[in-house]
Amino acid sequence: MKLRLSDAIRISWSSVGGHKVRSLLTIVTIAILFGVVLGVNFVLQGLEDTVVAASVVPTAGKVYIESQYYVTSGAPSTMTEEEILNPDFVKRRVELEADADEYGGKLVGVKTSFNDRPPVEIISVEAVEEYIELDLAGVPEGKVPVLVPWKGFSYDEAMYGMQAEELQRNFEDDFYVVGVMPMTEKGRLELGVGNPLNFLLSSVPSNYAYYPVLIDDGSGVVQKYLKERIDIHRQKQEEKFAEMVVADPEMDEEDYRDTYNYIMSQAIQADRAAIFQFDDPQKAIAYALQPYDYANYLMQQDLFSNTISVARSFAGLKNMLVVIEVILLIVAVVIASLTFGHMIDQDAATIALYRAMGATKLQILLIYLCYLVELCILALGVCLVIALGIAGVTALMNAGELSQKLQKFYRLAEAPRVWFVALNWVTWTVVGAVLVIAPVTLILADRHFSARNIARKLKED
Amino acid sequence: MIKLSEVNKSYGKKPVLMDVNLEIPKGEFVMLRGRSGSGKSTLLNIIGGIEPATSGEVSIEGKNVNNLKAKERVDFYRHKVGFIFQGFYLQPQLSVMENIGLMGTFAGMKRSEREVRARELAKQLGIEEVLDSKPAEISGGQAERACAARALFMHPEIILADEPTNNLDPENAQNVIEMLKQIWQDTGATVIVASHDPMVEKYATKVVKVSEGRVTDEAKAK
Repeated sequence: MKLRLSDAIRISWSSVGGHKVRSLLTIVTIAILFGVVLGVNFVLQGLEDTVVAASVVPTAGKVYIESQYYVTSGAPSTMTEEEILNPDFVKRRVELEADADEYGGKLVGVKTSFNDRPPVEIISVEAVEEYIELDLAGVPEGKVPVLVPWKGFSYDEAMYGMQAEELQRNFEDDFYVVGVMPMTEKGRLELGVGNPLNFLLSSVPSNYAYYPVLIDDGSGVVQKYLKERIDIHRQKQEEKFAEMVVADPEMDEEDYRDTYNYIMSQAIQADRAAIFQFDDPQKAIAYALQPYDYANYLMQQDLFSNTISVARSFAGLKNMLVVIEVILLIVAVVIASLTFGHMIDQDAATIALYRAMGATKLQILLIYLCYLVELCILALGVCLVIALGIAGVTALMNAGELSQKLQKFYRLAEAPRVWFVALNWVTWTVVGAVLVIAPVTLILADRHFSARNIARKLKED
Repeated sequence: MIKLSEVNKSYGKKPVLMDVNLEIPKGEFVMLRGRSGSGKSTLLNIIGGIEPATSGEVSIEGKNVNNLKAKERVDFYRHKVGFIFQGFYLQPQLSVMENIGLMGTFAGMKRSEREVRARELAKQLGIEEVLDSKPAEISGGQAERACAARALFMHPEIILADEPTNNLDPENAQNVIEMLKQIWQDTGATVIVASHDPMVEKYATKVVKVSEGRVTDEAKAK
């Protein structure tokens, strides 16, 4: 093919200007279809970025994720008493660290969950000391430092009344409050009734906490407290077993042993997660959005706040948007092909002229491909204007209200900045989809370029 | 030598050309004369390979035009024939210079080379001053000359002109015919003009009468 690309572009560009109406029709059709998708995506990504940015303010811009491997059944692996009382123990720790390291995650502590009523959760002091001012020096000797869910947390609230009854001790007998957890408020992050943005925001989950979290400051006081809890549970289970033996005096030796082991295994149910700190929220999100592996399930969740839960919710919405995009792409290609096929028929004389001027079929196709690409690029420009318009109107109508709601939801000192335009991979797939229209349309319209069709059209004209 | 043997052409069931046998020696100035709708434009297009014959054979220097392979066809258009279309078919978005150089564009000539050749032809045909204009900005006579320049761009051996004096006033029509004669004399090319204009007949060395799809008369002009 000797035709220079610059010449093909010049000839095709003159066609855009020469056929204003049909060029405009194609541009506007494509632009409207994809402009709406792009605009919704701008708003969606802008919202996600805004919410994620607000969610990391309480943790000084960092994301803390607790991770652990689950066995295939999905049940947490059990731990022995020695493992529970060893604060450095984490199952498959090396694998966990290596995986997080790929995303810039740094192991800063562990979280132990002891299943009880109320549940006992313990985190290493290293996992919180960077962003919560802890009053550890003021902790009375023998008491466990705790973070409470909200200021003014009442010691006897919720399940702690039960603890007082069952354990014959009050909250303040064991614990000393050293700070408040950076959790979200209860309920959903929502704007006014009927606001369409609620469709997107309603998926933002709350990470509201009801129970205090114990801080392991390395003094051994937490292990002592845990040991007491385990012993109390063992004693209660022993009593339970004794009641069962009395109720069933016929029990043989094997049943007796199995039942005892089972009952006692219920005494200490606990699991432990590694806590990773990510300085870059986007890397933390990438770490949390790794493909799901059923056989080797890595469970990650936010330690505090809700950064990765937000990202997961928005990822689902973006996937929905891609499905819509594919449908629109098919519609756009069909419309463009029909318009283009009609246009080629109208251009029969020009194509015949090009042939008579010694143009090869490939050269003619190149000229029309350039023409279509030019239309698609112009459509992208208009598409961008439409998308920015949608984002702009959304910002004008909602930015102020959303900022206030975010401040309240994340308990922030200042109202966060809100924006409604951001790029992501969906943006690039829209750009790609619009540009793909050109070659696909050309392939579908290929029969219109045949000598027979051109001769027929010439005769009809 | 251009030779047509038993050429038939029909559109659907409607016959347009029937059993056409014709020989045109090299270097002739031939007029295909006939009324509008007689089939002369179709005959010209078949000679030029733009439309295939339904049956029969069209050969130029022994080569069947209908059986040309893609590359041979491109060479045929680039070097063998030059078309002057009815209604000009100048591309409205391109300048006169770009229209004249269109063949060179497809042949991969550099822009500077195309411009040199276009200027040379424009000077020869007296349209130098409109080279940078768009077709809509020039007169009918100038457009016809631009079409002729475009046809001559690659030094063709055969020039096919379809109703070149249509839509022109008598003075411009006369000028165009004289221009074709001049080209014919200067280049030695075979010139075939499809026209119903009696003025063309005066300049032709051979007249072929086309009537209702048949070549009914063949007469030598002066």
